[in-house]
Amino acid sequence: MAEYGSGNATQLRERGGKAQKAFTPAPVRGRKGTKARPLGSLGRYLARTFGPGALTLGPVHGAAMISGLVAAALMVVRLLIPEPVGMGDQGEGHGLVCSLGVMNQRPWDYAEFTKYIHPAWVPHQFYGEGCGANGTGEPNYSSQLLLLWLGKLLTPLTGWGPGLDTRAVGLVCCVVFGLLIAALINVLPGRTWFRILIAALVTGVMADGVFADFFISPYSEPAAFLGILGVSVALLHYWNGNGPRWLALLLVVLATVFTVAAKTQTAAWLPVIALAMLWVPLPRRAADGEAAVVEPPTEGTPAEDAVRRGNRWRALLLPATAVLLIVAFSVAFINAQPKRFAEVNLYNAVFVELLPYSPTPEADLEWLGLDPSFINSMDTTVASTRSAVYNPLYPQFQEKISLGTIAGFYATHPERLITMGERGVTAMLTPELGYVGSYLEGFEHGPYDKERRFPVVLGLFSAAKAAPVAFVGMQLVTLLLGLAVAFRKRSAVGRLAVVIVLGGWFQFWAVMLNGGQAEIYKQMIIVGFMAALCGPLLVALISILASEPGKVPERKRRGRRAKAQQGSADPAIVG
Amino acid sequence: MAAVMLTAVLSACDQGKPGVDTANPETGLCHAVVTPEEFDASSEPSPPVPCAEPHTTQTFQVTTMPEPLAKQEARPNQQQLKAAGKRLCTSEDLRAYLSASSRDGTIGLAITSYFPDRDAWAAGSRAVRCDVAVTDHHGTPQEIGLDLKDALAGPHSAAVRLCYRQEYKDGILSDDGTDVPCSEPHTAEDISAWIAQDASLATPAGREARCLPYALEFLGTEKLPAGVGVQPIIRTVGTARTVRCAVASARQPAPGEAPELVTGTLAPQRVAVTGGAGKNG
Repeated sequence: MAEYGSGNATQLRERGGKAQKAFTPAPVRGRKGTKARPLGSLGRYLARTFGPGALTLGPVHGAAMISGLVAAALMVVRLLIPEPVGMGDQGEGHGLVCSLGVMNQRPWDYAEFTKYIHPAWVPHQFYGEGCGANGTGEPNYSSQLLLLWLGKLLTPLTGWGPGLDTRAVGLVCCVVFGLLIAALINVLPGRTWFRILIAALVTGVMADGVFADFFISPYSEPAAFLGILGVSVALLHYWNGNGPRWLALLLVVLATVFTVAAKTQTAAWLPVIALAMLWVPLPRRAADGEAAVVEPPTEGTPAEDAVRRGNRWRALLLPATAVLLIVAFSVAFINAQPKRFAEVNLYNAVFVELLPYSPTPEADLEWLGLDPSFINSMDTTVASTRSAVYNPLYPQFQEKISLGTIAGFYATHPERLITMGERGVTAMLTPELGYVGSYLEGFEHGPYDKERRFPVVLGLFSAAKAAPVAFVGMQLVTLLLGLAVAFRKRSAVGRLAVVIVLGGWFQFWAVMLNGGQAEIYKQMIIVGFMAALCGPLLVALISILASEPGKVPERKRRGRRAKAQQGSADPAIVG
Repeated sequence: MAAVMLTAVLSACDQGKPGVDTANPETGLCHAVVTPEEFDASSEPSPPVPCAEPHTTQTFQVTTMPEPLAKQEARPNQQQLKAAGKRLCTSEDLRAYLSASSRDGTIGLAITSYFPDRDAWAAGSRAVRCDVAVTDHHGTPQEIGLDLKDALAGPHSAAVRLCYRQEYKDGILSDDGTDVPCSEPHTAEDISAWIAQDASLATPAGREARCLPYALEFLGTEKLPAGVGVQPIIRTVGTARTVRCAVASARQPAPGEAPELVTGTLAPQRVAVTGGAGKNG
């Protein structure tokens, strides 16, 4: 149907063109008849080359492999040449990395070691509470440990000494990123150059120093970034409906588990992932790349309807099981995280966010059921000299305040969410961590100097700070276009846009409600990364919506169909 | 494959060995605490090392956590513990352990406190371990091979004694000097007598006269020995000027020649006055 319709339209246009040529009078001024305008030509060339064309599916292994290699190589170059760049440790790294039996070679003093990056970690035997979260010894688990462990294996081979060097971890991250880019190209729809364009834009986002520098750091953010890309690839593969369904679901489960295990805040997008998994895969596309045919609903007997309904429920059984698996893992993982983190987050939620930004802090304390003396600790962290932990009534805080209490407070004071949201968006649009350096000491860079060689995201975010509403609007547009592409074009890219935007919003509020202002710039990095991915997604969505798959010449399409039927060529490759 | 890798990573994780019992710490033991995180940890169970071998901290006192924190069933959090540690592990206690006299000035000594781990706390231990570390001018604990018990009465006290290195310019020594341990080259040695400067201390002679009794007390003599002189320095912090009494080698340099930098201490050895025992143990 679609083929007939579009083919017919093409023929009509061709006929119209001939008629126009025969009867069009000479132009009065300006344009010269048949001569193409340069801008128009360029536009048509770009659309022809980088447009998605027919939303064909299927792997393009050669292009994927080359693109993955190029992306990984570019990331290695931007991180290590001419000198290593990374993200300075603000003290959080030890709790994670020490579990690999290494200690950081860095100055003792906090103000000194945050000025530069200190990538070398040497073997050391820790005892008791010397290793773990904030001096409590509680183990700090993260999927970043997998990348760190691989980096530890690689470190001796690179000549960076014994132990672990975060530059080697950076190399591991680049390789994983290259693999994900290759996989992304294989699961994206459309022409090869269109896929390469989107993958290049994703690489551009990742290459910005505000994100890439984390690759050479002891933080767990790289696992979150790579996990988000992994979930995206796995979801696209799942929705494309290629290969065994259980395997596609398994990939989604593994990628999600990896992401959630990177940082607990990523668990906030679980509801969206659950919906995504229950959003059943699209019908398989025709081999020649046409839009999938939608079967019209057919009238059936009640018995047939019952069978169809039964099949639909059975189809949901596997993804529902997968969702339960992920939820069970996430609950177990969150419970295994240091209790100290939960305590500090709740402290920050009350004393750093809720009270200082309140017009009536005394009344808020009363609502929370806390003693009025806690007002003295407003705007402090647990480490402050005025900290509430020194209040003899501190056990009251520990007893009465939970995540549920905080959620209840904002549910009954919704007006407070507006200013909180504004602060959060401003923080998200300030992704550069100015309080830690990017360079090694002794490379002619001053303390706290930041590396800004590829500031695409930083530039866009900084510009957006002038009108944060426009930035939220951009996300909203991405969401709406995603829905349009998902339902009108029946493309998985649209669904992915919905998942990324909604997932980002869920995480945004999870961060704001659970910890709030304390170190908000770093906490917002993952939200910022997801927001930055809206850029490549917007390009993909607009291209897909603007594309006219039927424009492929009939002769070319016939040839491709024949080749596909012979199995001699990859039907997804469009010349 | 992912499961295999995850298992490999978790098995490779070395979260830390349990170490020694934290319920019953002992005074006088030395430990190799090398990271800030270990230094600031709530408990420290690394096996003790002989104090003659390289180590960073030494337990100078063992005491008991007072109420109300001691009554808590669950161990208080790190901030509460460390705040209690600051009250319980005082510099006076440390000076007693070092056998410091009232005229001994010290430098580079940091105090930290450790508590029972969560299991030992739950089992009823409320012991507080007070440790001292010798640090550099950045506050970084240094590896030493010195037993600090009665150290200021002994022959190896220079590493923890406060000395000053003054600058020599245009034929005169600067009024102030940089704080250094006496084991490093210096021009004067502090004798722990700091006096707010007033009109009577405006001249070098006035300052020397005021500091002389303290110098004699420091040296344990009735008159200045040959080759030793009183050489106070002046420390300005904001608008406050303080005279810090100090002694120095009295050898006069040749005209135009900078005074000789010396290492070591002028303090005489003496009999230790303390046993360095814990308050409660």
